[in-house]
Amino acid sequence: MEPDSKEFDKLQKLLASKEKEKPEEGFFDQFSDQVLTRLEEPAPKPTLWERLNDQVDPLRAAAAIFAAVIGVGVLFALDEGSNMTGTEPEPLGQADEEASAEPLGQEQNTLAGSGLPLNKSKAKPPRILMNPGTGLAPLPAKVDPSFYQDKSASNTVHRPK
Amino acid sequence: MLESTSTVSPAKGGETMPEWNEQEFVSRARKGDMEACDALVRQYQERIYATVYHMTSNHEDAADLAQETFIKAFRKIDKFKGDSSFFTWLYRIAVNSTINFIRSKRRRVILSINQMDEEWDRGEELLGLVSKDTPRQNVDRHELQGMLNAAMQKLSSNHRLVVTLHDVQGVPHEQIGEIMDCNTNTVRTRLHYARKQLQAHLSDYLKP
Repeated sequence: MEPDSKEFDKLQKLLASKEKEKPEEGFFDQFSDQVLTRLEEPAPKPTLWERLNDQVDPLRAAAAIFAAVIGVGVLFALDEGSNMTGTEPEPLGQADEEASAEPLGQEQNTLAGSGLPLNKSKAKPPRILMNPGTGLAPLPAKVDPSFYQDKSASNTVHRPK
Repeated sequence: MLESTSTVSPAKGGETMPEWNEQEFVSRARKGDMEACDALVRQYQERIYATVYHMTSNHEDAADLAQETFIKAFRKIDKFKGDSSFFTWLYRIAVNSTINFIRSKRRRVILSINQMDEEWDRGEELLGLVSKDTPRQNVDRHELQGMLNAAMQKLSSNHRLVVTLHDVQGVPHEQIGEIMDCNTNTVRTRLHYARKQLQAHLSDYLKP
């Protein structure tokens, strides 16, 4: 027999010998009476955790929590989507420029270094940049005709009269 | 070894009852019949106590936990659906209570040794298992029992439980799987590692 298997055999016999360990004599004669006496006493009030444990099936509870998390996520996503459609289109890169324009360490909403408050209203690009030509009436230009006269040859200085 | 519905009578000082029908006693206990409760306690008290004792290695703790197991079982007997035998269900309550107890009292481990049966009391058979060629050859029975219990306490609660149920009490792997809510292969693996650890802890005594 291998030394290891001999050791193992001894270990099993040793463990089996534990079954012979018994409490003092008469212990089991009183045991049932003690249990039944304690059983007739009023049961202690269960804690909140015990009540939850008893009344809620853990699998169902986990499914409900999962469904609630998904539901909240969907609502949040829908809300975000509606906000996005409600805002005016921003020129590409505009938001990034605004964000990066602020000096590092600068307190928010103040002018760099001065501590003066900035205008809180969100800066919008001029409408003309978005749609060139809008809002301008086609007016004829009023130009003084003397402006176009060639004065270089005379080399004279015009002084106001 | 452990049967759910057997014709074995409840053990009480060698007395025998005409027929032991677990289901009948369980349904009577459900209706609040104290005689049925008494019969169920007497039938299973020794095995439940032994399991808890081998897990805790302390007589007082084992007595308290064994009582608690039966009280919990009778208070929640309406929740027993009959998917497994009453005894497996009872075992599960005992095991869970004991594991919770061990976790809460991890820092306070006081070992106490129960007496051996009379025929074993001389300890010759037990001492015969200790190798003659080791430095521990002069060990006495109490020391050996103490060493074994201390080695058991070094195992994790799951490893200790499989060793207790299988190697000490002879519960088959399948039933241990039901009690521990795991498959038979897991039981075998745990048993293998638990024995390896015990062998390492007791190597001074067991060397051939």
